[in-house]
Amino acid sequence: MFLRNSCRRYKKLRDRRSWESLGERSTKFLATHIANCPACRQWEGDEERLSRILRLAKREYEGRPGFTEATVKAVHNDRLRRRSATWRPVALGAVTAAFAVAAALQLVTDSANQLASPTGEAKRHELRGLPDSVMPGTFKLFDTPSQAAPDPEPFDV
Amino acid sequence: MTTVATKQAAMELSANKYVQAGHVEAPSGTYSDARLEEAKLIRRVRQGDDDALRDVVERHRIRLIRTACNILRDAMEAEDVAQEAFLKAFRELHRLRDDRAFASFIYRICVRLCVDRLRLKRAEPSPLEPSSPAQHGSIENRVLVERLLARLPADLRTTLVLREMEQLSYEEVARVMDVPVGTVRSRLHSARERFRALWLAANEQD
Repeated sequence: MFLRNSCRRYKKLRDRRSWESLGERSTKFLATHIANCPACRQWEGDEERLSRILRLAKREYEGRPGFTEATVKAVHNDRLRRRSATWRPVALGAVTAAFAVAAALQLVTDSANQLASPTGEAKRHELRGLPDSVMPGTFKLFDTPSQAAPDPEPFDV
Repeated sequence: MTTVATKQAAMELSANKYVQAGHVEAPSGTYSDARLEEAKLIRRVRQGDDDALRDVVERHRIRLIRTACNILRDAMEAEDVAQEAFLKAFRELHRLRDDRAFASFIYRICVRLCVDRLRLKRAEPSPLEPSSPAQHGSIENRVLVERLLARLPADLRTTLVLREMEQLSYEEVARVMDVPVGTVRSRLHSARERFRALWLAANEQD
């Protein structure tokens, strides 16, 4: 039990030593423990070997020769894409708004023209307020005399 | 006049070398020179100077590709991530308050992109091939290390690589990964323990 506790303490202090300097007492404990504990010696050796192996496994790859040019080009393309992505909705909105204004103007102009010179057909009974059975048919507004319907022939009595 | 120019050129050269060597922090004199030079370049990049942009990419590419390669263990993917880091850094340059901090800004972006990629990948479930890591040469060791690293979760793996391979301090790892130093300590402890267990298991299989 004593040994396991001291081994735990050893590993804890050993870990702490990685990021801060230990006091004299702790340093002395580490030295004494490692000298007397084969398990911790083994652990220490494994730790060092693993650190070394990890460092040796470091890759020194520096990239292909055209990396810089390709990256600069990619940055340019990205800037262009972002610029167009920013302006595209604005341009689309502006075009839509322009169409809407043009359509509204067209409608207003048309209705103004119609009010100024009305054309078309109206039913006679609507004008005179008579029922359809009495005054059937329609007549043209502003018909010229030449276009007007001929007078009906008199009935024979 | 010539002496001053030569001295300045020498300072710039040493600053560039320092950044390219992969240091996040450097001794105060060289560090501040490198950072001032960096700030000048970034200011020019902000103004749309293409030469400055090329210089910045050239300055940082080796460090980014190496780190990404060590974390991802794949050269092509590392280049991909490094390029993505540059794109993201230049896209988000407006977020960088101090131009002198560009080196750590882009390094952080690169590491985070690596972690994101690792998280997207699933941990390799394949059984380890029997090999004897202690007796074989460095190539076999490297292959085994890569296989073992692939079995660690993204955060543990990145912490281990940044500390053991990239030789960053605990504080630097914490800054890069945007976590408290205590988290780095506990992650590193877990990563070591797991890596060690995997390593021993690989040895026993043999």
